[in-house]
Amino acid sequence: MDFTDQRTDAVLVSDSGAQTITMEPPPSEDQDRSRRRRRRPQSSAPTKVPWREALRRDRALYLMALLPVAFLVVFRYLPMAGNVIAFRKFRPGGSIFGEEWVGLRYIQMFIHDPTFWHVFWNTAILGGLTLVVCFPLPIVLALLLNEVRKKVFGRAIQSITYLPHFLSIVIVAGMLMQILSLQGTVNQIIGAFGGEAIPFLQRPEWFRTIYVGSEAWQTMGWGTILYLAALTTVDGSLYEAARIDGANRWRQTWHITLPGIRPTMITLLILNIGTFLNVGFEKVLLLYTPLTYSTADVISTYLYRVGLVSNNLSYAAAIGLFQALIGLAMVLSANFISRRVVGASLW
Amino acid sequence: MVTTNAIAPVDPAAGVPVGPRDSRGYRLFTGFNATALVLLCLIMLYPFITLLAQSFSSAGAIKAGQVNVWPVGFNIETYRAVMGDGAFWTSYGNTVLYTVVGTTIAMALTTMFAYVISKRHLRGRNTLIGIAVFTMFFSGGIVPNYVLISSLGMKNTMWSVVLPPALSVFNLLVMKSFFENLPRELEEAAQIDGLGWFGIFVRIVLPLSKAVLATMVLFYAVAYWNDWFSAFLYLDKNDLFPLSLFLRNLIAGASTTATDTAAAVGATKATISANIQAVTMVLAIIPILCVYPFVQRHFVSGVMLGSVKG
Amino acid sequence: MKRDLTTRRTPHLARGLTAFATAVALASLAACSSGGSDDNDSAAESDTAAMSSYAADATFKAKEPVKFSMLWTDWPDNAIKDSWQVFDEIKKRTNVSLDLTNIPFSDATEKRSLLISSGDAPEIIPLTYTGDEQQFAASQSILPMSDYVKYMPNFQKYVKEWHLEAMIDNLRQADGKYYMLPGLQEVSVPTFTLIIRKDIFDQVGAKVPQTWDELRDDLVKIKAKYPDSKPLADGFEGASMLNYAAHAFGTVAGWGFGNGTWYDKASDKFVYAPTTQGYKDMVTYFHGLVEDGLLDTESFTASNDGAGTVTEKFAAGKVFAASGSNGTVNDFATALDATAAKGKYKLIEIAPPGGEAGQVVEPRNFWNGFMLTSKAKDDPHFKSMLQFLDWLYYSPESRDMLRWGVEGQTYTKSGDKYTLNPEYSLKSFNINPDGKTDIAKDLGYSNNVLSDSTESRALKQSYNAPAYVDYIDSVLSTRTPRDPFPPAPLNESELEQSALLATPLKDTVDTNTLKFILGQRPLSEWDDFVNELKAQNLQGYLDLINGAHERFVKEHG
Repeated sequence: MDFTDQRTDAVLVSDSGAQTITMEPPPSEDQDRSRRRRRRPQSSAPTKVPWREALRRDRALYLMALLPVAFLVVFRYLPMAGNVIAFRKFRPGGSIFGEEWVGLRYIQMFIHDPTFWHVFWNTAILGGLTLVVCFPLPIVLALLLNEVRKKVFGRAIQSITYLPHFLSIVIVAGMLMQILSLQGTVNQIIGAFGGEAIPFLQRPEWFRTIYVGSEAWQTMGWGTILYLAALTTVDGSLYEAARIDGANRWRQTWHITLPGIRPTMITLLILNIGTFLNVGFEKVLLLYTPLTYSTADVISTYLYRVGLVSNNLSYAAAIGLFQALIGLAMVLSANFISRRVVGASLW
Repeated sequence: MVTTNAIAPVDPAAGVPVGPRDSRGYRLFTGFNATALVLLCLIMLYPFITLLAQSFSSAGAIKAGQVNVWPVGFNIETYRAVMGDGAFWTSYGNTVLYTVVGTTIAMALTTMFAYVISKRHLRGRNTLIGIAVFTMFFSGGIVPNYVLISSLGMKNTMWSVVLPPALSVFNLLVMKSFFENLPRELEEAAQIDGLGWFGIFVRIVLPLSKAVLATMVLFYAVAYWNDWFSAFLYLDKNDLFPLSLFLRNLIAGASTTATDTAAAVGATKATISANIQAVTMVLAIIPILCVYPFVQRHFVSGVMLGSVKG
Repeated sequence: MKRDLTTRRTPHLARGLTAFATAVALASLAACSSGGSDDNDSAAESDTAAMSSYAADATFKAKEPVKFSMLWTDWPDNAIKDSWQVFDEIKKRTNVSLDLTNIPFSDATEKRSLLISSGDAPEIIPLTYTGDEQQFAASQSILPMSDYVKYMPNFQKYVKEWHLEAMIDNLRQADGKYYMLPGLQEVSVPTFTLIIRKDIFDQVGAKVPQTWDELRDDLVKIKAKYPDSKPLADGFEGASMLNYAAHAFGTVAGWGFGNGTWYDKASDKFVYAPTTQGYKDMVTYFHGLVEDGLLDTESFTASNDGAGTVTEKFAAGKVFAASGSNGTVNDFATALDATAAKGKYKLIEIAPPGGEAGQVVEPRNFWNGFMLTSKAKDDPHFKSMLQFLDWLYYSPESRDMLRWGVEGQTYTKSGDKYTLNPEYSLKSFNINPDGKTDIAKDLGYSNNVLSDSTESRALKQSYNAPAYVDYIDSVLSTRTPRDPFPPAPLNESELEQSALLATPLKDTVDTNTLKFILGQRPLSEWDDFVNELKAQNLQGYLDLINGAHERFVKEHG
């Protein structure tokens, strides 16, 4: 579906078929239109302003950016030099920039390691599933909360749903092990329906479900906060106008609410696509067993086991660079596609 | 003249009263909605109730698996042990300090930078965004960060905990998208009136962004509140430890059946070990529960829009 | 401690950035330091504070007051207090004061590793277990202790007296030197073993099992009376039970798997343990238990921490024998106290059962010791440091003090018997619980950092609960520790290779061991499993280890 042209979509036919509803574009539609015009990807301004004028006109802006950029340089870019150990041999206790150049040795080490590629695909699959499942859920929940009639009720529910975010991973893992044990709640329900108990945590085919399900449970409520903040930026008078024109709640949601939070959705989607390889190390470590290695083992847990023998930070740095490159490529692609298809993007 | 006529705020979460135009389908839907949400709440709430019950239960009952929703063998031993420790209150105070200072610095940096990069006309904007986004993926690792902080002389000071996490690119980009969607007319009107960028930022943009600012304050505050890693790396002195590290330490030390064969010689720490995790969770989350309603109050819309006509 | 937050930051910033930049510049002049032992000797000899006639069993006292830096791990329930006397006592006897750097107990290993890697660690690093030092040996960021033991008479005396020379040899790295000094134990017993409910065993007429076959018969009897139970459980993902069981079958497994090799004396070669008959027999045995419903299968993949499920099953009467240490016994006892079995149950630790390889238990082991960072060498009082550490870690006088305090004040000793004076308590071992002053919490003796490492048999048994003493006695009188394997230390690049070869092999072993035991894979496929290992370059891995072994024998005899 296309959120782009609110004008055309405003011509609706209701379910009963009798009425044709036209929506008068409310005053703020002007800004939507002008926003749309500016969305064309070519340039953000009609002509490129020469530097001297840019500095003069936007002097305050550049000054405001000075401190944050300096911060990033000192606290993020300076330590990045440490990544050079991916190409130099690092000895714990020796120089932090490594001892000698070894070139692509560590890169080749993981490229030729078949186990690495297996865990890489596990990571990608887990990350992808998490993204697909856990991205829409907060949106749905935010919309549902939006429909709650009593304000207080809605707020109370929202406060409760974010609680799981604060549970430590150890506690969550412990709870999962209890619920999924042979005598646990889930198996009791299965038994009540006459089925046989399943040792969920010992079966590789169940791991992904368990992981993604618990991620959804933990992140759903916290994720709504941002969307609720976004919902407040939607002009209330749009709803008024729509109601006057006879649009029911569902249409209002589709044509006002969702487009209203679209910028937030797109930002979050692109960012989440970029970080999809960051599958939680601790959670997998606590939940996996050798029986489930085939689906559960991810890059970070594999590295952990390799590192138990020889603490090879150079190898870890090489793999880290690889993951970072993929993430960056994903973000750039997602941004580009988003700009082409939807017209909005991060930059 | 810029007039900001405040329209009576319409809270979308207040919903729309069911009226003659709302179909039966919608009424059914709201019924289902309410039920589903309540069920959801139960699923979310149940673990906490269990944790709360465990925190007040006796060690034996917990280890025997008898605690479900109500405490068994009610006692406040562990609470007393944890909160009676002077170090607990010191670390609590530290956390409050780090959180307040950290959030302030983080908000200042993030809002300014987000505002700057939200200006599409700005020359070099894409470079600035790129500088930020790049740091999301590439980081130096523990040892280089440690050496940096050490070289800057920040070890064992508050700054080693407060400064490094102070700019989250994620928050930055989200805030940028909010700023980008503010109506340009307001800013243009202000410019005509002679306000510079910074003035617009402070007088127009910030007041209109209460919801996202409140959200970011919440996000940063929670991140600082729970952060134990920076303290673990850069602080050596116990009296500088934040609560999160203090509690983590407590849990680790209380484990009597650690697989590390070292820790298991002859220790009887049964009482504390059984529910230390539950107690620490409860203690850590209470402040957030108290603060959150204040944040929610800012999720009210509509002050800005429709106020500029012509 | 709230410092003045507003000043000092900017000038420090500039200075700090320069310092960082200098570090970068210096690092690019990659120079690997490796001090020759001649430098060390002359440095040591010029120490003015060292005793000239320091000998074993004598008190070390520095000729002038000296200060050494030491890493101290903070146990949260045993934090350093102002009332602590142990450091004053040390200073009084030896003229040495300790400058402590505290690290939290949680993640202590990571923090220690970070400190050493960034060059920021203090001179003395206690709580070092064998193997911890390996990653730092190659970069020479810690000192080769074997070069300095000539200054340490107590260490040498007790290594000889307690027959630990072969084990010390096993600490040698590829260059023939060892880089840490361990805690010496006159006797050592497995920390983790089988805990049984003696009352239930008695009830069904099962005697304390001496072998795994006897255990099986006992379990069958218990199951007959309690058909709903799965009487045997592990609770440590199977790794604990497989560890202490493996020795009875003549192999290594679980926590004791190490690098997976087994030394075959006859051929003087290392083979891969899972390919041996002993390993297969062990797996077959446990599979048999699973088939007959005698083994709780969940406990072989779940861990006891947090959920504590085996503890719960113990309390619920579903499990009557499980793996654990004396800390686990306390856990089980606490849980059982909350049930109807209170007052009726009896928990004991039994010596690990024997098997086809004999009544064999794990080889003797060391306990935690210490290593020295390379900056210790530059300390002008280096020789005193060595003598001090020798006294602190290995002299009976110091060991008594670190465990019991001051003779006459906190305890009295007659023969091998130590008695804590009535006003003092040692609550962590349940001694004199009513005493006013706790020698551990209030005075700092019996602390976890220094007090555990070296112990004579008498000292070890002096503070442990009678049940544990019985356990020690039963192991020492009825079981034989297996001989340790000869050393086969890898050099740096070999370590890198072995990490990448060993991990997939171990993963295959772990996965399939569980599958065979739990019945997910039929034992008839055992040979397929061995072939899968071979296909993962098992031979290359073994060649690496055997090559290192031959090289060590050739170079160091």
